[in-house]
Amino acid sequence: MKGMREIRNRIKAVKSTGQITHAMQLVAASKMKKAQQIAESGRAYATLLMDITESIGPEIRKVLERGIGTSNSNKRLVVVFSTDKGLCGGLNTNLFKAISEIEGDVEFISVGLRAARFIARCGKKLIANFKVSDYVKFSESRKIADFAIKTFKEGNFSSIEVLYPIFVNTLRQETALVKIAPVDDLDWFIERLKGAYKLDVATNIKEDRNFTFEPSIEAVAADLPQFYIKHAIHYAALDAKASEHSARMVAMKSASDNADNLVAELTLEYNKARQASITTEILELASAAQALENNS
Amino acid sequence: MSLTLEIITPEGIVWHGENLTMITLPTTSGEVGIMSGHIPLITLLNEGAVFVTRENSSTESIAIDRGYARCMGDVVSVLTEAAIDVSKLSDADIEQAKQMAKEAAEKVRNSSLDADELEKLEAQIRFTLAKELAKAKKRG
Repeated sequence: MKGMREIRNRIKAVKSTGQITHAMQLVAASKMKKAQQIAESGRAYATLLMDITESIGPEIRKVLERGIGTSNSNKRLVVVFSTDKGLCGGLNTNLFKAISEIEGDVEFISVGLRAARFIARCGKKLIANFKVSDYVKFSESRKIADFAIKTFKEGNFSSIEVLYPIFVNTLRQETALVKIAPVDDLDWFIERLKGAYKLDVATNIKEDRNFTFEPSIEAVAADLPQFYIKHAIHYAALDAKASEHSARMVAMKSASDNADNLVAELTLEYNKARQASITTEILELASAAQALENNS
Repeated sequence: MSLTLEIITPEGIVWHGENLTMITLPTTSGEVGIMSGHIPLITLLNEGAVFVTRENSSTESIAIDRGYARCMGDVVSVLTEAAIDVSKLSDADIEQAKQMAKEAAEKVRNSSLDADELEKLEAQIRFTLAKELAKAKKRG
């Protein structure tokens, strides 16, 4: 049996670790709530973007197809969203596994330190690394989007894809690889927006006259894809953050629970050790008294 | 009959106003004034300032980035990636914006940039100037 002092020190150490993980759990919980709120505040934007697209109607298809030069390269651009810090369960591990599984001619843009390090270590091609704050502002993700679009246009890429942990619910995040460019099917984007924000047919303003487009319907349509690409990247960044915080919350909760269990076990061991030492002391006293009596 | 204006960015509805008599939008084909009963319109917007006139003929201005405006049944919705309500703009922000515009202009002069890059920098300058202009108008 270990010494009492040793056990006491361990209990103290485990308790303070437990306090830290508990605090981290609470912080992650509040950050998760905020991240979800921020994601929700994009609802109005998504609705209006969708409305405008839908009011343009089927003509848009033609324009878009004309707009995209069919690139014959197989080079893909993948934007990976990871965390900056660890202690968030299997989130990054799953992401890394997905990165390893991507094969072929791929170049990466990473958001968050973890992915940058991993991609560099694997010897894959990393073009740029971005950092975003906990509550991603659109101005931050716009930088990423602008860079990605520029690289896409100049570098003869065949597609832009985003790889990020989709927030399913607090306990579940799923790593997903989603193609966001070239935009050849806006209907798909519309469906995605509807799914993400749970939108229905949007506006209820009464208007039976037809829309006039300025400068022209083609010009209006030609500009739309980049709004979708930027929005998709922003949305991925927000989703990744929500996933990170919920994964961290869950990981820290189980860490706190483990710490509690360990403290209980150690306390039991400590009490046993204490009892054993008391028994030994009494035994010694008794045998000493016996010895004295025998001598007299 | 009066107009409603909402300016929407990915971060939410940043500006909302009702009972407006006129809205001036910086469209790609020039400034467009919208009054009640305007035909349904979807238009591209340049970066610049949106001016609104209230019923008591007081005016306000909001600096916006590129985007779209949709006018439908006396409701004008502006979709843009960034908007700044001028009344919330502090002098420090303006100083910073000025600085940024200056740097952007400097960059253009010092290097041989491609047209795309140039376009972007010019956009930045236009946005900054719109902010300036809007602020000056408010003071004046």
